[in-house]
Amino acid sequence: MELVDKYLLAVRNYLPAEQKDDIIKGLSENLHSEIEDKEAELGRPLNEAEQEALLKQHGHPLLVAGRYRQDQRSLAFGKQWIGPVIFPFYIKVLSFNLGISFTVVSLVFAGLLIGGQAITFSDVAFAFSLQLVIQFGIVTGVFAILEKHLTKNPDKWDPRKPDHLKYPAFLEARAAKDGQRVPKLESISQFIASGVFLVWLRAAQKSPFLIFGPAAGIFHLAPVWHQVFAPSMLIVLMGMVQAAINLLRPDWVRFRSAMRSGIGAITLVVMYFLVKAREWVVLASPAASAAGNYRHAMGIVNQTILYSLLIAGAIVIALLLRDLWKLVQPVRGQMTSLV
Amino acid sequence: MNADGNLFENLRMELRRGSLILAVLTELRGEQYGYTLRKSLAEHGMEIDEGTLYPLLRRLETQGLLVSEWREEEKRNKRFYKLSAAGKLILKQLLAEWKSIDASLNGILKG
Repeated sequence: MELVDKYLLAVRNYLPAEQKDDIIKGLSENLHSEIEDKEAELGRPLNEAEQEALLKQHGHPLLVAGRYRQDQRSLAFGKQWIGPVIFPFYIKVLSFNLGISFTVVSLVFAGLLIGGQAITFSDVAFAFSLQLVIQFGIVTGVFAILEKHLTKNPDKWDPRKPDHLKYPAFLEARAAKDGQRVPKLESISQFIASGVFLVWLRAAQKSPFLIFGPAAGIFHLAPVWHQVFAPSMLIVLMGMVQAAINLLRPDWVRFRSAMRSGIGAITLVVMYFLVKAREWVVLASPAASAAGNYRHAMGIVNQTILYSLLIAGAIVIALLLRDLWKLVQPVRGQMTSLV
Repeated sequence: MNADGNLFENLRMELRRGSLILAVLTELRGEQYGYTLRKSLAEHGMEIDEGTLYPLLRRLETQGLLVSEWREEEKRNKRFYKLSAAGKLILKQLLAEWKSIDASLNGILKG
């Protein structure tokens, strides 16, 4: 593979999916025009060192791709912490994590409210602010480190050694056509989101306050959660391993489908045990005089969790079927092509 | 680079950004493809790196100020850009604005 092709492939990895082909076509044309011009000037083909110098002049693939994004939003406090290239993934991960933690907190408060418990505005504000600070802090910190790593020493980038270029051009072309590549930034986002969730899960196990907020003195997690804690950690860890491997081998699309199918199957088993338990939130002090007041709220929270589990179960089944379908798809394609 | 240098660089980039769009639109009154446009701008003292020009061309096209066409020339497909009807109108307005700013600045400089 020529140096220019490797460079274009590296830029391509960071471009928005719907514009990849068009931008690369244009960039390729410009690069080749420049090379031809220089060759005409020198009266000979450019050697590798000259090609390398030209590509370095164009810039790090990540930064070049970043300039093509329509969405130029970034996160800056005085200086830029998260640039436009990884910003969309940062927002995706942050929204996902905040969505989960806000849903959990909302469920708890809804239960308390419907159960007739007195909730002050400061209780709600404090619980949501705490989740916001924790998630924002961790996710922003991780993405800021990632940004720094990716843009560190752009001049020292070596066009001869772009990562993720271990497969030939014809495979890349075919993979792009069939959508058979796992986008690198998708793997990074998944890895970070899972990592943050893992930390949160571990912290929430030790400190129920992270889940229940001010209601932690009233409610506790039922024993079933402690039983499914280890398998839940395993599920998240498997997701991280899959993301890490796909980061190194984006062409292992079937591996992703296989891992996700496995994760989906384990998740279903965990959900089965959860649904079977029929009680997910218990009173912290059932014998206390005020316990009767909270029993109704607890019933509502448990009922809501049951519906949530059933909906989540249906989504997991749908995703599992999708991954299994993807898993058998390439086999069919290969068989057809052999015929 | 010290703080003053950074500040100057930021202000210079800000000043150039608007002028650059004007220069690109003006150059594209006639059809050109990316590389020749960059060379032509450089010849007029308007150096612009590839990483800035090509995304700018795409953005101007998305905004409807340019139209492009892939065509074969010298045995290779190239994307030729030129001003659209809307681009011509905007350029006319921008040039009038530019002249007005230039006149004002000159008046201020002369005191």
